[in-house]
Amino acid sequence: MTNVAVIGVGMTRFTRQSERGYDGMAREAVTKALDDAGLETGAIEAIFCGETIAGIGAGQRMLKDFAFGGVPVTNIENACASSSSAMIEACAWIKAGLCDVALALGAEVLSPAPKGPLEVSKENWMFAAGMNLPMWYAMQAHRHMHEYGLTREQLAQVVVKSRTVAQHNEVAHFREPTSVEEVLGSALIADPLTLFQCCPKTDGASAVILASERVVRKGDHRPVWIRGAKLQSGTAVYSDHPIEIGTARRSAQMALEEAGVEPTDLDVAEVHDAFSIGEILYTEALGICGEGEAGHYVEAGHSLPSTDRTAINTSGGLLSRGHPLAASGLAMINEIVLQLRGEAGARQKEGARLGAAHNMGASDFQIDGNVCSVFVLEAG
Amino acid sequence: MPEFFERKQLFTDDGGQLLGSQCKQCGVRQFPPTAICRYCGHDELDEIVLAKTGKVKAFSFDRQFAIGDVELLDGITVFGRIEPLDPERLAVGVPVTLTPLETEDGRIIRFVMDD
Repeated sequence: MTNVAVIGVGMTRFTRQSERGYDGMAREAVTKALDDAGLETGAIEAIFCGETIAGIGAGQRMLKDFAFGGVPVTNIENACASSSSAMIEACAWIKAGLCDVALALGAEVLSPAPKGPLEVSKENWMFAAGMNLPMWYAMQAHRHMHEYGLTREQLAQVVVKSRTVAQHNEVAHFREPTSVEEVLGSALIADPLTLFQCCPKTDGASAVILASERVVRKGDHRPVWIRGAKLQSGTAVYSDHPIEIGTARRSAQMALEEAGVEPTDLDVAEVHDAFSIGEILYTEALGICGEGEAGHYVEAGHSLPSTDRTAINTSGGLLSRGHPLAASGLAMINEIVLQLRGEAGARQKEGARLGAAHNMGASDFQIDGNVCSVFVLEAG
Repeated sequence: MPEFFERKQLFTDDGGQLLGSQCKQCGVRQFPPTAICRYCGHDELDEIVLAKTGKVKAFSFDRQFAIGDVELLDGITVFGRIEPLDPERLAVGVPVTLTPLETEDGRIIRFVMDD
C-alpha cells in the first residue's frame, strides 16, 4: 500500500461568525488548502466531509460553488471526531488505490446554540439523571484528584498554558492571557470545572488535502507523512468487568505502533481538551507521561513548546482555539502540519519532526467514548 | 423483532431496585440489563437484582444538583443523581442508598447519602 501525505492545509479563524454559514466558511478553508497544496480543484478526486449538525447532504451543499466536477462527496457524522473520521476515510481511499488526491473537510456553525452544555437527548436513563458533557468530564476530574492528587490549580494551569500559546495563534477564538486565579474564579459549571475550563461554542471550518506517495514524488510538494492513522469505538462501561484500556489509550497505542514510535518520541501533540481535565486524561492516555502525572506535567511547564518534552496543544487546543465540533479534528491536523513544517511562528516547537493528533467524539456515556481517532504525522 | 432487540426495564416491578444481567458464559455482570452479553456476545443471561447500597466512586455538582458514579456492594457501577446537594459531604467513598425518584417523565436513578 502507498504512503499517504498531507500536502495542503487550510482553515478559517475559529470565532463567532455564524452569519458566514457553512458554505462561506468551507469556501475559505478549502480555498486555502488548495492554495497551500498548489492545486486546482480539478486535481481533487474524492471528498470526505465531516459533519454533525449541518444536516443532510452537508458536504455537497458546502462545496456547490466549487468546480469539483462531480467527484464523489461522502459525508461522515462521527460526533466531535467527524472531520478526523473523514480524514481516516480519505487515507483509506488513497491506500486502497481508489484515488491519488483527496480532500477532507469539516465545518460547524455552533455559536447560535443555546447557552450552557450542548443539548443531548433526555430519553436515556443517564441524561434523565443529570448527565451531560461537563458533568462527565468533571467526574473524571474528581476521580483523578482522588486517585492521583490532581489539584484544582493544575487543572487551571492547563487553561493558563492554553491561552499563553493561543496569543500567538491568529485562528484561535480566545487569545487573551489569563491566570490561575481568574480561571478558578470564573463561574462554576460542574465542580471542579469552571467556565474557563470549558471549550467555547465556536464557528469555523478546516480542510486538509491528502496525496499518495506517487503524486508527492512527481510534484513540488511539502509533504507531511501520515505514519499512523487509527480509529476506534468505545466499549460498555457499567459492569463489574474492569476496563483495562480506554478507547483513547487503545487508539493511541495502535497508531503509535503503526508508526513504530514511542509516545515520548513525539515533539508535539494536539489532544482533545474540550475541558481542562481532557488534556490531563489524554496526555496520559497517549503515554506522553505516566498515569497520574499529567497534572505535574503541565504545572512544570513541560507542555509548552519551549521545553524538550512533548508540547501539548500548541494551538491553544479546543479550550482556546475553540470547538466547532466537526471542524476541530482537522484543525488539529492543521496545527501539527504547521509545526512539522516549522511554520508555527512564536508557538513553534523547535526542530519538531514527529506529531500526533488525538480527537474524541462522545454522545452516549454508557460507552467509554463513542469514537477516538489518533494520527501520527512525520515531517517530510 | 426478536426479543433481544428490545430494551429491558431498568427497575424491578415494584420500582425499588435496579435490574442487571449476568452472562452465563463469561460471568460478567452488567447494567443496564441486556439480552446479549456486551463482552462475549453470548445470548443466555440471568436477570439479577442489583444491590441497593454502595459508595460514591466519582461525582460532580453544579448549583442545582449533584450526580455521580456509585459502586454498588455487588461490584457494579451505576450512574445517578445524588442527594442532598451538599458539597461539604459529597466525596469519593461516601456511602449511599438507591432511592428512585419519581418524576413526570418517569423514574430516575437517585442515590441518597447515608446519615
